[in-house]
Amino acid sequence: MIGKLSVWQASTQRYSRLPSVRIALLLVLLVILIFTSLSAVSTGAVNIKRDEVFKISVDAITDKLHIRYNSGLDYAARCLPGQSCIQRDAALIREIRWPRVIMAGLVGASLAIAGTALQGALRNPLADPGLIGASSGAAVGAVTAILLGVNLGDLLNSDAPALARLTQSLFAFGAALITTFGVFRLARWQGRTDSTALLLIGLAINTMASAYIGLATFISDSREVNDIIFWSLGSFAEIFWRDVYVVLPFTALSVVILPFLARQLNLMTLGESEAQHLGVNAERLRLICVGLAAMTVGVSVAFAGMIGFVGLVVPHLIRFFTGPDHRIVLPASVLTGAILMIAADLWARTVAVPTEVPIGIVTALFGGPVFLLLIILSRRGRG
Amino acid sequence: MTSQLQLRRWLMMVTAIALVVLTSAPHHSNAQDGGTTFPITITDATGNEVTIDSIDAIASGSGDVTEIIAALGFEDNLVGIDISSTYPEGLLDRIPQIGFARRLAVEPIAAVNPSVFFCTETCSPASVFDQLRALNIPVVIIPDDSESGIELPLKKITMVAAALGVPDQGEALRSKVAREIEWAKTSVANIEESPTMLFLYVRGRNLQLVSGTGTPAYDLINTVGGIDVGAAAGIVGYQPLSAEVMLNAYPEYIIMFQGSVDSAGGLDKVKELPGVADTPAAQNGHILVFDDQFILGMSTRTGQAALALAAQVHPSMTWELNITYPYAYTDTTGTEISVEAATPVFASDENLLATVQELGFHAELLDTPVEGSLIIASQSADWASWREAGYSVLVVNDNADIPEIAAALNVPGRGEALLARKAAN
Repeated sequence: MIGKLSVWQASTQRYSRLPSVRIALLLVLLVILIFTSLSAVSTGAVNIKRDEVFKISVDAITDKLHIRYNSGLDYAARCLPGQSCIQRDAALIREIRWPRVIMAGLVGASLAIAGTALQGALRNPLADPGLIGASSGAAVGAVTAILLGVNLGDLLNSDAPALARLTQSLFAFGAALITTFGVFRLARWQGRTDSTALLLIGLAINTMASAYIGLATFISDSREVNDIIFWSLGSFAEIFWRDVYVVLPFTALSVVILPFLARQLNLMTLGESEAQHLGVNAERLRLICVGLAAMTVGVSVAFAGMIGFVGLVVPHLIRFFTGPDHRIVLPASVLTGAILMIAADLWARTVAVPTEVPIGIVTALFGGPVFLLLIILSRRGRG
Repeated sequence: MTSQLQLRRWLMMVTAIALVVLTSAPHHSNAQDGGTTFPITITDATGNEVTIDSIDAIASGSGDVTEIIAALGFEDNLVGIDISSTYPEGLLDRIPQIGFARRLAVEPIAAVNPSVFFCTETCSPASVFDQLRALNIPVVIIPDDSESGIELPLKKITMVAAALGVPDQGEALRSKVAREIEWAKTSVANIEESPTMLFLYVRGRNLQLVSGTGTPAYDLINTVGGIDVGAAAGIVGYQPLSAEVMLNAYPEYIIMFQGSVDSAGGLDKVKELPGVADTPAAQNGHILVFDDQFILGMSTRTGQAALALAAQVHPSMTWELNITYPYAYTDTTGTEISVEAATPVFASDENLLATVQELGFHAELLDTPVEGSLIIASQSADWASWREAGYSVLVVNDNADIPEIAAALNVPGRGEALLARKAAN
């Protein structure tokens, strides 16, 4: 107890208050996030004036315009020539664009914070939610559900497509948890978890998973192939509010809990035994971080498919500008992950109208070069 | 706020009344001619009850559905179509595109502001339908199952026509297509050879699939009396092409989309695909290339597609393909008749029927004239009234000889051959 207290004191002494520059950085990121979200909501194949977008968005809370839609009786959503399109636009902005933008933000934040926490806890700059098997495990679960044709709708005597997707999501979530803890369990040797072994086992699991998905695309018919492309490349095209409500608590859990571990993660950078000496329970820290990451990423993948590179690149990007202090890297990666994912999704859905580019292609397209650039720049900085 | 609400309600009522008045006026579009008034409610292929308020602005997410909508006379109501809507030709140049049937997105569809959206069961992702419903855009899903076989186009037509409020026009189109399919079937009924065929789908270097049971290709091959060697090899749905699969199947004919051949980089490149060069199909130049939507669209032209395929794989009936349509023939009454396409022939008497059949046409004795068919009648028959009723009637002399009948049907060479054969006997 005394030891822990002194460590706490030592760490408070070591890290004085966050410099105001860094707080300013978070504020700037927050402003950028708000700006990006609003631009994303205002942009799409349907052309809606920006001021109308704000009016409709604000009205969702104040309800002064009495916009009614989806009742099918009092108001027709269809906008006839020469008439107001406000009902249709309101439905589009509230039911399609906002959930989509918020979901992109949540998933981006989840992947980024999971990546930061994993890189810190495993003391490995290559740790990525994808590498420990969470993403590919989730995809394997979803693909299995597709191949087996399992559908909650069959139990409930309903053929709503939403139920099929929900079934796939549940499979994805379950498989993500099983895979990650499987990887974790295999990496545990004589009561300790070897970080390198963890990554290597994750790599092996990933290879098996992508082989499984590849096999699945070969034996499935063309319609299923389409679903499988969704799982392996990701998309925010099919997001409703109900999906946001499911993902939000999981993302919130990570975003709230992980920053409390920032000091311990900082101590871990000194080296595992040094951190142990300073009173950090490295084993428990790793378990918490990996558990939270698996959960958050599993849920994200369940609803948005496998989206690569964000979890890997964002922490590096932040550290490049702020240095390795987790008290700033963790919240900054939440905001940056959200910003980048919202921007990437905006690009994905508007660049090739009337079709959409899979989001995983966009993140890899931009994330890859950025990652290379970061490596080159940081090498120069050192040399 | 309340007054605004009331004003809006009042405006709605005025609009509704105006609409009712307008739709009952005589100069309205063909949509309401059948007496159907909107809104109409139908149960679509997924079992959803869909209420359609208006068909003024139709968006179609699938080429086969577009084809049916156009054939029913609603081409001008289309405000958005997907890129597989290649027929009728030129639609894609005139009408905004809303994506591709297998990769739909909600906003491009909403952007064309449709009053109703049509797609099939194989359109995806299906959640787009939910999103459109959230925007209050009625979504009608047309059947596209593998169980219906060659009858699938008929099911599609019936449902599209019901949703458009023109069941009678739908029935007419349905029976025309049914008759064309039937004609293709009877054309090959007496042919004994069963050529082996395989459908090969190619999209660039990475995707090459052969088909088996449960696919439109399987249904079409069966319709023309062929053997689907993909199905015989145990393929269900689609399977990646490999040399082994191809040699195991060993088809005499390979059916391909024009789009597939283009994406492969031409027929020469197709022959370089695994195993293809060693098949009898490639060696005999029997890789048959058709327009994608025409051959397997399972829509209004499926009967014609079956006939075109049958003519290619049954050399004994290839003469039918040598008839160029449309052709004009000035018959014995001095009237120039334009024959638009291959259709069943109805003959006015037994003798005429026998000759027409000997010439190789699928023909029936004229009982009641069916819309869209060609009638060949002797001068003493009641041809004038049929012609008045709008049918294509070729009139020949009573006891017309073979050359005259052959000329009327645009197969003079076949007539000479028949004469020669009769003389030899």
